[in-house]
Amino acid sequence: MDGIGAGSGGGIPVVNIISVRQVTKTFYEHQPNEFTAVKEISIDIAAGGTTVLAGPSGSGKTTLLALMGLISRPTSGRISILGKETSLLGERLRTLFRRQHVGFIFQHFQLIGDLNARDNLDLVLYQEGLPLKSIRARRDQLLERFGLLGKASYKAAVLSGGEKQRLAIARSLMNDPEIVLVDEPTAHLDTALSLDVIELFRQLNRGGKTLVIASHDPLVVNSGIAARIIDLRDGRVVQES
Amino acid sequence: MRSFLYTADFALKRLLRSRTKNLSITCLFALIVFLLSGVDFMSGALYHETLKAIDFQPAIIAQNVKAGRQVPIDLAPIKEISSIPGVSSVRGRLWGYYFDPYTGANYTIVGDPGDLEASWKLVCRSPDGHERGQPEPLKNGEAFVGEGIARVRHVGMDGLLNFRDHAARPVSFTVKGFFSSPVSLWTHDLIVVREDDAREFFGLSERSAWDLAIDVPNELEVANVGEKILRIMPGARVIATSQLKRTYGSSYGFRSGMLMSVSVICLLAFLILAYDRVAQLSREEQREIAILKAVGWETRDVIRMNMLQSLILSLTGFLLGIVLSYVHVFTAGAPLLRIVFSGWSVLYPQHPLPPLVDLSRVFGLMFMTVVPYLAVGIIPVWTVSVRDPEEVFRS
Amino acid sequence: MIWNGWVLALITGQIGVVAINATAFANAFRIIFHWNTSSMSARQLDLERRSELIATIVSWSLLFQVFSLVVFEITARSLASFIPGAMCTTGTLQAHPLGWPILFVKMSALYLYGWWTVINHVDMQVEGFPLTKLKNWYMVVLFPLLALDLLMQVVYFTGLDPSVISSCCGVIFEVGAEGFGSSVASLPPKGTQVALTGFVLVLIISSVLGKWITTDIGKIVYSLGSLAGLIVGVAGVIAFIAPYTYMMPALHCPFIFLDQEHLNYGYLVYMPLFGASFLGTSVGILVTLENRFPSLKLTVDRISLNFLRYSGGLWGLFLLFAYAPIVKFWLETGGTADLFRVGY
Repeated sequence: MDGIGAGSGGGIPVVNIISVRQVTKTFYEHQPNEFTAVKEISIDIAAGGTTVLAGPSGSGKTTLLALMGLISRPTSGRISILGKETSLLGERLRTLFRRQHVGFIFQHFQLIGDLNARDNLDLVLYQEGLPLKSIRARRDQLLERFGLLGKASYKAAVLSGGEKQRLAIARSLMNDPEIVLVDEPTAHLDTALSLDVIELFRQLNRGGKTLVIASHDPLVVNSGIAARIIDLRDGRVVQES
Repeated sequence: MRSFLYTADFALKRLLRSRTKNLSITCLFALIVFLLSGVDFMSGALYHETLKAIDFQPAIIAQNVKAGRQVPIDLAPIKEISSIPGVSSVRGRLWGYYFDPYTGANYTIVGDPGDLEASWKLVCRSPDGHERGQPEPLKNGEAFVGEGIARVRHVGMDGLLNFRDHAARPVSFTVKGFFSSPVSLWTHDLIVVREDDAREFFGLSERSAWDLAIDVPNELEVANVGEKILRIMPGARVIATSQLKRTYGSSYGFRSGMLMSVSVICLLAFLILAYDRVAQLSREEQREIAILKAVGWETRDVIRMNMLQSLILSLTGFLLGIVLSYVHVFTAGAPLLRIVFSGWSVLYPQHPLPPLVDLSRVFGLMFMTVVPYLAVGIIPVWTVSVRDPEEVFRS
Repeated sequence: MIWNGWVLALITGQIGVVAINATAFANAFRIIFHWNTSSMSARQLDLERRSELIATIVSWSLLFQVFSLVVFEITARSLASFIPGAMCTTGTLQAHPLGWPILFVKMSALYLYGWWTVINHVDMQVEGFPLTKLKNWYMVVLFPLLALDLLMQVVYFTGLDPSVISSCCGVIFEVGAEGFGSSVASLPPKGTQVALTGFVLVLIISSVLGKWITTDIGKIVYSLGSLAGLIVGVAGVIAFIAPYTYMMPALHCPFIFLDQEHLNYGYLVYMPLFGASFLGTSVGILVTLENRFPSLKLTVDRISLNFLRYSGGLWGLFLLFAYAPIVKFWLETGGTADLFRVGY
């Protein structure tokens, strides 16, 4: 629950941007198909770095990411982000907080296929109530940065895999978050595109964003992008490096 | 405020994405509103027409009744009745119905005591529609005819109307003019002839009339005068025309109520459909809502968006239904509804009712249609909006 | 029993509203018994969702209740021609002992639903759900009122008897006669004008100075003042606003000018009046909440300031529309005649 604490390894005080304490997440509680995805995990994520959550599928990476991104609520335990204890926040305040500080990139992109690229980005900021001009400016800036300006009016469903990935990344940045959480970025991409995407993440990191990437792709794990790699298996932390 | 506008815009765009489904809902809604408002417009307009007609009636009408049916009344008591304090005038009226076997319509034939134009505000017109103001007084065998009859019998100026009188003898009337009146209900089945012609036509003796018209200028004295008349003519039926307003009102209310009940059943069926529309979402739609929530929309925002969709659909349907209904009733003459309302008379051809729209009545219609539609949608909208995005993504 | 399309419309709509609120009622109970802010169980999550449902239902019901009130008045007016002695809404309401009570119940429902919405809004802005138990108890108490409303309406409309003579507004609001309505109508017009204007101006000024009136007492006074303003406002309508609108010094009916004949002008007068008094009284409620739950202070301060400002603006609007007919009359008569001296 501390905002400031020691990271693993050094004696240098590091600011912990995400603090997970004894968190457990159980799905379908009290039902026959009940299962626990995350078991009493405690992790600190330092600000400004890139952390990779590695492990085979089913190890709880996605769930842990969702918990850190405040998309999901833990069954028990505490999660604090940017110094704020978030576990008991009501849905409204949690969503507000997330909207302001967290960007999420989903495994299957989760774009709205019927909408064009522009609308997919715009709708992130609708509930913030910003003036239309600023929303558009930000959106166009991101489209340009990710090379999607030409496809701005195309429906998301007709974009190629690589374009979808870039659009998903752009969307996660619309609200200018401090933290970006990424779930299996290279799952639908070939090697060339994967390397492109990894490079993009490096840039984001240099830009000051804290990244947490969940991936079992060796390309990501061994790319050197991560300051820290956390191995997960069956919902528990097995190894850190 | 801005977020509300963005949400509304998004809701509208969303509706346009599934155009067919939403258009059919709007049209169904419009149909129901069309029925309900048509009934309302029609009965309101007809009722007002009737009220206007009643305004031209004398304060009291006295009829002679035998075996529960109306029979000709003797003119003898007139002198006595006119001496009742409060009575300004008494006269016998000569009029009756005539069934025309050729058109299957009923006409009203009225014997003119000479003041019809003044008391009923009839305006004489020549066939090309121009006012002729005071026409020449009717001679025997001549008639003024309402515009509706002229059309139905295809009779023009100086044309002939061939009827059979009470003894089945053929009688002809030459049409010498057409008229219209602020009370459109009349002009469509009214034939005005000379009083003695009417008397002969209906077989009424010199000393009798069909009923007595008694004018009582002061409303408050009507009841008293009525009682006194009854004393003079026991057994007579004395009607205060102010009562007629109420009876007509009930009758119109009843008929409109019947048609409304049918429409309400349709509304209920529609509401069930509406519930279904919102409750059954395709996987794609569910995913979209989950994405919205994952990206930063609260449940509240998603609910608002969904409700706005329902609101847009129902309001559009409502407006469409009302406008169509207005056109149907007031411009096209309400062909579909007329039959229910006009009852016994088939003779109401292009009968343009004067437009009468009370905006606040529209409000009531909204309460009956839009409000239930929105209310029915609240729970399914909520069920759908409240789902955890993660849950949806997993499946 | 008197029945027409309007009664059907009214009852149908009302049934819909009651039905949806029954759900809110049931859920409110659930929340009251099982709510636990410090729990993270699935049940608590479920209750949070149900809380969302109740909020949605109530906010839309507020809109529905506005319709309900307006349509009730229209329905009563449409029935007036069937009731002997009645010439407008007043007569219809007078024809049955439940007539006026229903009107008051509907008006109160507006305020009560509105206040709930305000409380809910505050609850959502702060961490920890301090007002949730309160909200739901409030809901539990509110629902029977709504059900009562419907029941009363059914009894009322079935009980209306066209053979019973009712009184019309000329009698109920007659100057110099007995009875509550008449006493109000008999208020000296000039005196009432001064009183009303003065009162409302005080309210407006207080709202403008609102930034500096930060004491709780000041806000509560304003709040009570708004409530009084509502009453004085309605009295003003009967005493002089209505007669000036009709240009008839003897006609004091507070309903006729809602009719299309008068271009529905009455709504322009009533809407700001209700709005202003609602916002004003809400300030008082907010202040009470703030004292009970100190964590709300910041949020409540911000909201009450806004309410104060809007309420003041609406009072001003009310004065504008209340006096427009009078100004019109003065302009037409060259500024010298007094409507009431002409009359009697």
